[in-house]
Amino acid sequence: MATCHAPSGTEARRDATTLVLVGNPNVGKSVVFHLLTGVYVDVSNYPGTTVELTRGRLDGRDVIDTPGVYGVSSFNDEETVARDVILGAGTVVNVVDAVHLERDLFLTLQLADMGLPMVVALNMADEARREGVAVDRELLEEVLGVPVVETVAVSGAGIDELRSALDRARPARPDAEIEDLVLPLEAAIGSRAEALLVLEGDEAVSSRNGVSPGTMREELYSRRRARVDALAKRVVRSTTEGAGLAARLGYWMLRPITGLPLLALLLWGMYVVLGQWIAGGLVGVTEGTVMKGYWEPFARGLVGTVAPRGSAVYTFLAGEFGVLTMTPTYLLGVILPLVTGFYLLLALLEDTGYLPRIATLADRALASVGLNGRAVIPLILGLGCVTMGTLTTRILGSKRERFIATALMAIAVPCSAQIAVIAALMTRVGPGYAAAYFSALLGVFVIVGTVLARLTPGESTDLLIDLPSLRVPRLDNIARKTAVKVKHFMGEVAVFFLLGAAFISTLDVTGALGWIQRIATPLTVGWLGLPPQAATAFVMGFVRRDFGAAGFFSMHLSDPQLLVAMVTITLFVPCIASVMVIMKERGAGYLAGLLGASLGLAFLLGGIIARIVGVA
Amino acid sequence: MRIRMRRGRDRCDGCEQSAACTLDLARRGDRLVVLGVDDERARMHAVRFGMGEGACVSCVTVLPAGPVVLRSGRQEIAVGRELAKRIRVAPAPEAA
Repeated sequence: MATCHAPSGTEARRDATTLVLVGNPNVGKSVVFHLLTGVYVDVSNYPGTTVELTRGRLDGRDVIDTPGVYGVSSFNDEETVARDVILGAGTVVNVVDAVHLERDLFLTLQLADMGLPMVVALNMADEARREGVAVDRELLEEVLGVPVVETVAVSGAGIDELRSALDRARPARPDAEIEDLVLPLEAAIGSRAEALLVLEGDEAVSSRNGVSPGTMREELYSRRRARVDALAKRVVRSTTEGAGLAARLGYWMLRPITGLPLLALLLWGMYVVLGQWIAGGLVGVTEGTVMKGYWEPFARGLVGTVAPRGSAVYTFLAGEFGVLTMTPTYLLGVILPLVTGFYLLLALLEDTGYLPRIATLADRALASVGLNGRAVIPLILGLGCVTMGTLTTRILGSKRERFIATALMAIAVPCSAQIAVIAALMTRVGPGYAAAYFSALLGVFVIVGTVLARLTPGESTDLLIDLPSLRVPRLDNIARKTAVKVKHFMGEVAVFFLLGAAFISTLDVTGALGWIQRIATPLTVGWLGLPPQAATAFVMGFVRRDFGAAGFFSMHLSDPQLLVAMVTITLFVPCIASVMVIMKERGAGYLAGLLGASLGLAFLLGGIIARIVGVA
Repeated sequence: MRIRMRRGRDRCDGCEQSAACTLDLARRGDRLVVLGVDDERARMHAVRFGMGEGACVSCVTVLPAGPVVLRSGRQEIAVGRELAKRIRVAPAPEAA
């Protein structure tokens, strides 16, 4: 589960050889990182959190890329992780966006006050010039007292200069007027950087040094802001106010009258790419042709040579839900293409700067379910894969919001694979039934959200989000980002999938699956008005949501029965991978409540619809 | 530009006299000075974004019952409606 405090034992100790990249979000920091370190990088979670850290090597030194932050403190997980990595840095490369120096220099001056040896990469120098922003690099270098190197990360310009400037890294000129405060504390705790954070009231850093946190954060922040404004005024000359096409498009994206159609267009586009091209087209090849056509017969033959067909070992390894058959088929044939497509689209959204604008547009609607606009990011991800969405709820500001968002996703948001199967089924029924299906889901989303917003304790945070300039994304950056995330995601879900497959196989081998079908008859036949085999579809739906929906494909249901089945299977418990991730992120108690609620809701609403449409 | 009064709201009577009111009453095109942010966490973020006390900002747009979008220099920030109610602003001097 995500925590707000650094776990004990991760105390930052400086390592002279470690190079740490620090910068605001969306300043091209990860591109600089990849140019410095090359392709061999390692992505891992920071201990005790779900924040990803990327590590690489440069001339024998460790290089760490930190999450984008606007300052060093502990307002959220990302900041806590960045803070501890920065405190352990030998040298800091501060990447700043030349277009937004007034914002980025706040972090720069904080790093200066922390006394860490640093180099500044003045990134996006080309974009700044195009937008009519001229930055006096030499003056900035003179004022800060550290090397300032102009870079255009996306084209690689300036990276060699940055690399050679690393040897000249040194502490930047700090705010002279706070020296009287910092120096005695530095002498007492032995670290200037930590002394500054203690003065700024950082509780974790204070307690690990055995001192009480300072109360001067506001004064120090305000002083720093005044210095940043003065410095920016000296080094930045701006000729235009950014009224180009990007600025106008950014504005249209925010205005509901133009923003909502643009958003609808985007969602439609995502559905076409993920639901039709990938889930409907590509997956047919990867799952049907490659995995089921070539891999599974091969695996079954191989297992057949060591264990006879029908034996428990055979069923476990190569049966319907086998560890060597169903698991790789779903992981590589279904999830891999879907997740790749999804991360690709998400990276595009991220790199263009559209996401924060969607968050702004959706803020009002999400406020009514106890969330703020930022929640669109996990919810959109949840449309791709609930597992991914759940992992992303960590960006939400409070436990209450993570609680609500996870529940909404698990209950009322169908994943892309499921949408694809359902869309295929829906082509058989009239548009009236399709409309009824989506209305039922939307209704459940609003009702569950409203109820949770009332019942969940705690307070939701308010939207306060930076809207970055719109940009045309670089394809190589998108590709790299996608590759890194897909690899990380696949590594994380593979274990859950193996466990899930093993669990279902166990049910199968022990005969529990048939037993479930029999005892579920009153529910499936009596209450929902479906055939008895529907129980198998539900058990399969527990493994994968689309799998469950697909289970209804061959059942020859009438149109009203199909509506009942689709609504019930959508609201039904999330797939096994999501269940595992929810367990890990939110805990067992939460999971139990969630499973109870989704089961109850699914069958309650399914039964009610069955009565309305007259099948039960 | 002046902050105009919203119909049906009586909280901001003084705006026409350029006294303080809250950010949720801002309209597109308003130029404002931030007088204070009555939320500790948001106050720190606002200072980092250059929109803390004393900052001069302009209102890019206001979404119906939704966030207020502010601009300061080239920096754009969306502020949720509830938070905007806790941000005190006054019209910026015409020369600003």
